[in-house]
Amino acid sequence: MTDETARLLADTRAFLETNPPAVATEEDRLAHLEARFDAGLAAVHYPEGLGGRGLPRPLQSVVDDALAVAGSPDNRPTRNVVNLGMAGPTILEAGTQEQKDQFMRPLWTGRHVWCQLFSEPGAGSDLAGLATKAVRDGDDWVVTGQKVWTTLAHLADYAILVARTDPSVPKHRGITYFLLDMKSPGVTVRPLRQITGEAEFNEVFLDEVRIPDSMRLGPEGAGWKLATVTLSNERSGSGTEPPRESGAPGNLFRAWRELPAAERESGLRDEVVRAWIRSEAIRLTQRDVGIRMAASDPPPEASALKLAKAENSKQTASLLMQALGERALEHADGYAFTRPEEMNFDVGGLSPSYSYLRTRANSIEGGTSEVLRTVIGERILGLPREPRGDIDVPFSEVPR
Amino acid sequence: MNNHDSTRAATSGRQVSGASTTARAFGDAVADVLAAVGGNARTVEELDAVVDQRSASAVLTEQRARLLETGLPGLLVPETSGGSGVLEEGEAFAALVAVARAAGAVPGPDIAGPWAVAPTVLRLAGADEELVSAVASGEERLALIDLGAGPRQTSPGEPGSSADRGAAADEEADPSSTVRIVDADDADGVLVLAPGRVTLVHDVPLTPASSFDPTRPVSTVSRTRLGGGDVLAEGPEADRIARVARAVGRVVLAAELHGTGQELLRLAVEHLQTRMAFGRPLGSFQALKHRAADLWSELSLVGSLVDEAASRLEKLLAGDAAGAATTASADGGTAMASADAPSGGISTGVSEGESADPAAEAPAYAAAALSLAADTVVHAGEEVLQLHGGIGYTWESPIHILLKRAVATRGRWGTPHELRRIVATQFDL
Repeated sequence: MTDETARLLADTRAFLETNPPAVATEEDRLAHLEARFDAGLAAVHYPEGLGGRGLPRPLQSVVDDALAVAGSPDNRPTRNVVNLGMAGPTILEAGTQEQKDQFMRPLWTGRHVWCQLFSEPGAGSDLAGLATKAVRDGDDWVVTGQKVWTTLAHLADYAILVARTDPSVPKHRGITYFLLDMKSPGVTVRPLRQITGEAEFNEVFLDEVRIPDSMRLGPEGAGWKLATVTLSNERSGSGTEPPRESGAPGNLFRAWRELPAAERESGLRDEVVRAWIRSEAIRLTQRDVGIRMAASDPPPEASALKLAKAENSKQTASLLMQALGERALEHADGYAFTRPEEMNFDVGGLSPSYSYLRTRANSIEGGTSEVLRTVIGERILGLPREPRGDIDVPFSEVPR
Repeated sequence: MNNHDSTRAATSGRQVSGASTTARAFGDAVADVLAAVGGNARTVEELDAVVDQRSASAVLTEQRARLLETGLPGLLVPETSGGSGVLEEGEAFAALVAVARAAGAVPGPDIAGPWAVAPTVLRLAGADEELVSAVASGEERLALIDLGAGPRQTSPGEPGSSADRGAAADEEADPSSTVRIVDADDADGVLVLAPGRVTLVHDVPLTPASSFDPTRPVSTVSRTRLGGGDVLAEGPEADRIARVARAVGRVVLAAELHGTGQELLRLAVEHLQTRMAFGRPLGSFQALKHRAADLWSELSLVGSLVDEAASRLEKLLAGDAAGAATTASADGGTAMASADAPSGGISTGVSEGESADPAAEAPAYAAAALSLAADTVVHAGEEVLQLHGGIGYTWESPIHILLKRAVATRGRWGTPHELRRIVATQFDL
């Protein structure tokens, strides 16, 4: 055991002495997490004074393991993806000391809920084509435009926002990054209903919303560069090793085993076995990429894995509907218009028909499969870029 | 070793995670030798020579000699029997997989038979020390033939009852039928895996055949001529050894195919980067770029599954060696008995989450790895040929050499369909 590991362990135990892990209420839980943040045990790779110690990221497992054994509540990392995977890393990268001091603690504990205001009706894969405009007015920016696909916007306290501050320069250069108080006047959130009937996402309308300049993140015009920081972390958000037969593929194999033997003797069996092999290969690749990601920044392979996973989830969910035959005429979940209160991208354990519908989004959300193929082709394989008509011309002259 | 190290790094991008220093160094060293001699049959003249002269061609003879110099034949042999000492470190299969990946990229001799399966069979059968050390030193090269597992003792109609057949299983009804054997025409002997019997036959009357993959000569022999020889193991013990042997062969071939696929992709990327059409590089067209990206993505999945199968195989064989060298111990025997295509029916619970015994699933993982590798890499060969346009259809281009290797490899140690039957049985699909 290295000195650093030993010190971390000792500090973790000391923290547990003064902060017993048994928490009764939600407020207790948050207070426990705040104390952990203040002890520099939130994320050891965060800077000192901001929940961490500036140590290498892999050492975090020393703390996490000791806390888990003691039954200490965690900050629900799978549910706080925008907080921890997007807003946090970007604020740490570009925030002023005041911004970091104000936001990092409630962001990490989950006391504040964050949402992401990036995509627009006219700018999805081509995010840099966004048209929401921010105009300087004294110490404020006045923001007007429409954002879409915003998870949890109806519950959010704050948002990370990109808006166009200069349409006279090429598109990637005229964007600025802001932190927005979602309670500001002029912010309207409306549910966006999807093919499952629910509204996991929202549309957010910004009508002359005033944002103080102190809430600008990074320099004016640096928004695109910072957005890529946010998004590279998004794609790596799920870099843990899932158990065998989890997610959409797991639904297929469990349901398949329950089918009458005669139905399993069909030509579909070969496809099901192929799907099993492929799903297991993806899981093992995810494990291997996860091992490398724990040690450093997300490798480009993370994009490739997202591609393979999304396509495989779609295929296995579709194969299950096929295997079910006429049973697939029913949809027991119904199409009620509901508004989920937490993010859940995992269809493991959910019904075949719901899984089929929900997985259609897997190859669109968080980077379409088409964009990921381009990323693989250009960044991993080094293939030349396609000639483009929107690079060296002012945004205002780009056909839209 | 080549001018495309950066591309190679990008397209391979694998490390033998967790492999010990010695095992990794050994694997890397042999892989370097293979890469260095890899250019041999890349000229039209040299390929013609291989096609015309089969095993005796200078190209294959030289490659085999260079491989012997690396000590590869001693990799899976215990040090006490003249092995290289890597086996005792417990990560010889990681090294073997690295070697096989390199072998898949070059038109060289068969590795799976003489240097992976043969030493494993001899070790498990407790064969004569003199023979084992002759194999370890490369003095004696044994080819392999698998006559299949025979009818399984399972109730009719049970899924997987015919799952674990060898390559020649289809013809077992006719005892006088002809079987094919790879890279054997100047071997010193042939190890025969037959139902209930493992034998070593010398002086097998082989008839040279014209092979689909010119770099791996094929011979034919009648089953009736494989009957004699020295018996190495009999009964359930022989079947147990054959099951492990097949798994070893499958992992090596899967790793080779992964290497073949990486080389194919490297060639495709190079072509797409340099070939100009309509005033710009081919690779800038999204239609082609996305196909290359899909190939990369599919190939990257093969690597992790191959590594997993190798690591489970390592555990399986370590358990066996610890139990007993010659006879089934309580521990090793149990793991082995349930190893390949279990006949007793696996409960559904085993397949949910991790299994209790990773080693017991090793043969199913080996079958899964070869099935995925064969599917993926044959498809890659066909795609890469198309991405090269007319150039890819010429004898001069190396693509057909790799494509022929991939297609020929798909038919060895079980067809993809047989492999998937094994997986289906193991995981109750």
